[in-house]
Amino acid sequence: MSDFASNLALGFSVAFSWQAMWYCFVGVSLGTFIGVLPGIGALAAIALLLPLTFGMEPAHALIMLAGIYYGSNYGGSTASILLNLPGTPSSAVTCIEGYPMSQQGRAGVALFMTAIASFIGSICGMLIMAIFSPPIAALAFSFSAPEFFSLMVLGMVAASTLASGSPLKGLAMIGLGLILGMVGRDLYSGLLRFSYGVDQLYEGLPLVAVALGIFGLPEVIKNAGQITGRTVEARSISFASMWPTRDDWRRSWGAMFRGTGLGSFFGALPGTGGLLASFMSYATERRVAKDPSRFGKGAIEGIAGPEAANNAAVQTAFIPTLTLGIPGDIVMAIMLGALTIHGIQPGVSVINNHPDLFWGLLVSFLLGNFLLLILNIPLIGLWVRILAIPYWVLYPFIIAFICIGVYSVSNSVVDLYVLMFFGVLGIVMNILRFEPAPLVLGLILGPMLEENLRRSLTLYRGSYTVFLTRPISALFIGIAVLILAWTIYGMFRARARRRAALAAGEE
Amino acid sequence: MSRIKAVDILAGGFVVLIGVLAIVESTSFDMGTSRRIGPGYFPFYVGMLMVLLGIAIAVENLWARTSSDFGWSLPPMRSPLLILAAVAAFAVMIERFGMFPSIFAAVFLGSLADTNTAIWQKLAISVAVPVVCVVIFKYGLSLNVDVIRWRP
Amino acid sequence: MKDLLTTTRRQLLSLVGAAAMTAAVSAPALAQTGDYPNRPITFICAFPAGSGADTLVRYFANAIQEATGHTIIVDNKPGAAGTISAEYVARSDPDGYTVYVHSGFSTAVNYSLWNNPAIDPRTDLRGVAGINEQPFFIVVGVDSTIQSIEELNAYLLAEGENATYGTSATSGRLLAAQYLSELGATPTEVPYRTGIEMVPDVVNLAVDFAVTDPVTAMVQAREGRLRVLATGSGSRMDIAPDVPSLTEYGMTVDQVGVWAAWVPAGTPDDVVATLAEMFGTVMQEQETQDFLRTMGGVPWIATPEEVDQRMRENVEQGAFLVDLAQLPRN
Repeated sequence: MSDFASNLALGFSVAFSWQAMWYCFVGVSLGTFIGVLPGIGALAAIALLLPLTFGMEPAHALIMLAGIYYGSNYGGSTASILLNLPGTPSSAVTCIEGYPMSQQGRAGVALFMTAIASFIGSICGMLIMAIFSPPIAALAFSFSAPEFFSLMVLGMVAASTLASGSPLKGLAMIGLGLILGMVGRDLYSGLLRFSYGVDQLYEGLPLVAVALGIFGLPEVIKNAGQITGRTVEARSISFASMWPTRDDWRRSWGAMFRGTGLGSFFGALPGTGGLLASFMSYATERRVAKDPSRFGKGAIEGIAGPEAANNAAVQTAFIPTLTLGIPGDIVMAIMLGALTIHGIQPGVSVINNHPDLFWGLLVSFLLGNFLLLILNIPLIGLWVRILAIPYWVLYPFIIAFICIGVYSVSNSVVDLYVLMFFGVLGIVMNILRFEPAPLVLGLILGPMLEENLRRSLTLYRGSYTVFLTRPISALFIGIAVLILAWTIYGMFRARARRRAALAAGEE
Repeated sequence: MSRIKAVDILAGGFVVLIGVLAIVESTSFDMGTSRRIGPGYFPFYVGMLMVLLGIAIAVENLWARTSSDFGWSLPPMRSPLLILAAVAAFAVMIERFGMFPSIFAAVFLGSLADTNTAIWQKLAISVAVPVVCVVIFKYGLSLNVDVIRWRP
Repeated sequence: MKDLLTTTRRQLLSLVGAAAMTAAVSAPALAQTGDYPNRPITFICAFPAGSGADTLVRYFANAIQEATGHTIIVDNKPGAAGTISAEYVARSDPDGYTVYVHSGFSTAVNYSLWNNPAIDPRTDLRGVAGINEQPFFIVVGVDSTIQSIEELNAYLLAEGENATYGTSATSGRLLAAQYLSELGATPTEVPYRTGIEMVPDVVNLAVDFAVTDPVTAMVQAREGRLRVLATGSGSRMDIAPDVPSLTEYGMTVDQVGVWAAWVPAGTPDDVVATLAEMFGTVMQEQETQDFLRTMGGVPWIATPEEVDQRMRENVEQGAFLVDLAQLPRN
């Protein structure tokens, strides 16, 4: 324990040097502003700024890059809540409740709660990382293909209940996501599937284009020319108007802590990261809510939980990255690249050979999250004012940002046609009352689901029983079956009630 | 209630259609063996699942015994067409003429979707947006795209 | 010569710069006469910004800019495993302002992975300078009972299809295919997207052995999780002098990925020479050589002719290996 104290002291001495604090500040504020721009997520932000870190001390470089990462996560929720524009897949969850709240004139409250939930999630995630790093790192090695497959199944079953309408429609959207996830080259056979002659789809559909296409474009199309003013009067933005009510707080506390728990767990598993955590947290909140019918119409716990989960996951995702050299997602892979440029090889040895780097980074999370809170609370007023801009001025900007955001991901014009295609699909889905969020989950998890299924069958001699004979895997499948049973029971109960009501009406 | 029914049948049909597309695509690939399943296996079964889900969605509310009003109309087409045209204009122009002209064209087309604004407003916003974008993306984020270029 | 140049230099670094982000003001994209280079040179990277390969391209962009004062821009054109970027470079003006920095081996193999390849790298690209050579490695988990390549050979021959092996990337599949064909064993393949994704299954002994990229192999071996049994290169590489090559066991296997720089085929000799000199200057630096070793490769100093020669060999070898591994052509 004294080791821990001295490590922490070392961390503080690194993170609280003037230079480190400056880089941390630059990182989080750049991250926030870039994150707000739709489509320019953490990935693009870090990639654009990576060259700047070449001349810096490794610890400072990492502190700044990490700051951009969680800062842009913070900022990413803003565009989702205000304009229904998710810059990253995990902020697609934030859209579900955040955008309705915004339409009800409660954008300030939603943003405020996002800030608080992100803060709590991050700080708890950081503490967990500090204390449990080695055992969590070991977790990554107890997961093999069957565990990942079962975990994805559980995530999808849970996510099917995201749809505010019928769970069947939710499942159908996950299915569509799975099919879309197969677009491109099949890892096993090397053959192109569902590409219909478009070679540029070789590496799969571009995620940012899909997300902005099905969420963003239909919203712009629906509102262009319809809305002249917006829901907010510039005058009405006061501190009081963004302060959550007692009721909001009461609903959100539990959600935040449940979300933090889920996020810390999922973040530490390579490959799944914050996305699954956000979806699972949202599904959990719907399950535990006394009145699930509020969901989809601006239920605040549907923001607080996933935001806490996402941010906790962002912090714990550093565990496999730094201690095992196994990055949890693409952004983490870039961080590894940044370390390599500085001649540092990731691994357990990072903690031993570069304690200043590991503990300095950890303590900088603490500082960075305080900075984010201080930076963001006053900014809420500014962000909400965006809604006071007349829509005829606002939506051309949105169109331009979407176009540039999508194009800049890989400088590809084909991505823009993908954006258009998914804009049309988004409109069709709107008319037919399908929700877009489960589709995004299916699209991202689809390739992993198929690959882990095939891997499991190859490794365990073609037997499906492997998913039930391995304990962790069996646990996930068991929970998934319970959720499914509960959902089907709920559907029949609702139908019975409706019939009873109908029968009562006829009498 | 009556409207929901028509929508559900269309929605179910939509899901069945996607399932059929997936099954059709899967037939050009190998199903593999139980130990080494092929590239056709997963799309085939997901496609089958979609067909079943689609049918379930269509019939889910048939039992609700409401009037069979299939009244259903397409939403107005002006706004979707113009906004999609805006994206298309950007896509066609960005690598030929650079950032400023392509955003100008996209925004101008997009602004036509709003019938409440005057032409001077549309032109003003069509100039303002590209200026702001050039400042943010070119000079702020050093995005590697020319402001103006000529490669038709 | 440099003083004659009037292009603005990219104001890199400085943290005030980070906040304000002063950017490169690119000169008009018009072909100008006069000494080459008189406007920014663009390096095309076939991988997304921030990836490991992008790191390497940006290292050279940065180093050449520092050494020569010329502005270098990196443009990421990912897609279709490098096919998109290779075609883009081959179709660019042959004026030396568009340079492809990429793996020659994978460009060569791509030629055999498509029914109608977009370009023929032998005739559509012209070599400028070599960068590094990277072998893939055959590894097992550190807890595996298999201690050497001989024991692995015996195990695979005994177990037949029951044995499993992991591969990552096309290069990994090709090396595995040639090794197994030389050995005459038929274990079952389990492909992974990246070497790193494969590590837990190798460590858990879920797969009996694996073929992985040099960075994953070296880092995880140093961490004590993997045991490196052999390299796919024809002889031992100086990044891992203790690791034997398969040729030492009588197998005809010599697969080495090479990174190099290319320009469109019609680029004039003097422009190629100028560019080659820029790369040459940076390649001589100790810092560059150290960097290339941490990226898992051995510096490869080569003339434009040697790069062209290597490409011709690689295309031939690639065609042979793709058939051997029975990879489909799309």
